[in-house]
Amino acid sequence: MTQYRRTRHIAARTIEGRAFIINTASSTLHELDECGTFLWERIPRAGDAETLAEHLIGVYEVDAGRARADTTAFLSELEHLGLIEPIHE
Amino acid sequence: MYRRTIAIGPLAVTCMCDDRSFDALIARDYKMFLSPRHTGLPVRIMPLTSPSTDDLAVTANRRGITIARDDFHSRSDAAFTLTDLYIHRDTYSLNSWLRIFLTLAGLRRGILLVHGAGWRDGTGAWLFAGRSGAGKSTITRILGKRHALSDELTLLHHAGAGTTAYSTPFWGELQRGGEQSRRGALRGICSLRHGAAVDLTPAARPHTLRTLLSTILFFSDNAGLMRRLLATAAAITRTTPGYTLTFSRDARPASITRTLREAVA
Repeated sequence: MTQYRRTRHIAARTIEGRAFIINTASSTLHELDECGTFLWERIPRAGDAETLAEHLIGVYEVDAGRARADTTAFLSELEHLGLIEPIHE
Repeated sequence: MYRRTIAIGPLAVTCMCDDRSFDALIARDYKMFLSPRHTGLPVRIMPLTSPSTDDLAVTANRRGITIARDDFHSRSDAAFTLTDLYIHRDTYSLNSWLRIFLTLAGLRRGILLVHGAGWRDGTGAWLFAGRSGAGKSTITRILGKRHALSDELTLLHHAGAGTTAYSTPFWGELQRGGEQSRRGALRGICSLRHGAAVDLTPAARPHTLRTLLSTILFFSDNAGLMRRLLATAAAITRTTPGYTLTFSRDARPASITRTLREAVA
């Protein structure tokens, strides 16, 4: 299972349940919704899709298959935006 | 050696040069922002003899800060204790460089330069934030230059429990209508919307932060500086409420000022 971490060229802050993330390399501002912010805040401690999906299931009414699919897609999108990167041990 | 200190809000820049005509240019362009106390961040100004770089390039690291464009090149140490500026002797070049320099030098002091019209009266100051076409000059024209901080770039200084808005010499369409050094405690940050009736609707803090972040003038891609910028913007929105101000080009000044005053009453 791929582990992810936040990239070094970001500035991030959560305000009233919404994460604001600036990618300093591309000078772009990203804002996450409630669910995205929930996952974003857990990436430093649980940076793989499986573990994050389990967190999601514990809080939101969502079935396991859907949670894994959504979390995988979410991580893929964040990686594409340069906000997270896979950890290569 | 000629010395002129340009003081914009709490940030002062002491310009030193041997060129009398450059000194005269500073004295003319920043007349209302000159300070007799030469204790600002020292900048040695020299003529640029060869073109720097075509595109704007800002580099910030532990060794210092460089700002380069085809018409200027400056290098400052990391603490801005000394800056050497090579620049063409013209209004446009100095104005452009000064804007960029202020954003970098001001950040560590909680200072942001924001694309926004500033206006103040006896109750405090308001920021009408927005990019080109949002209505900054229109609202400034309606409210009158007499109390305007700028119709283009307003300086915000966050310290302690509040934020102060300051006038700047950086104006847009209205071409330096105020030209006065003014300030006021920031009472609200408004995004502008055109509509038939004047209306002030409170905005959620994320909306206000989004408005502010999208209008802050900043040029460095240094992640550490960007984190500081984000923290400062977040702190400002923690202590300053946000609104959406709806108004029309034909709105009466009194209807807008009354609406603003009622919000802080």
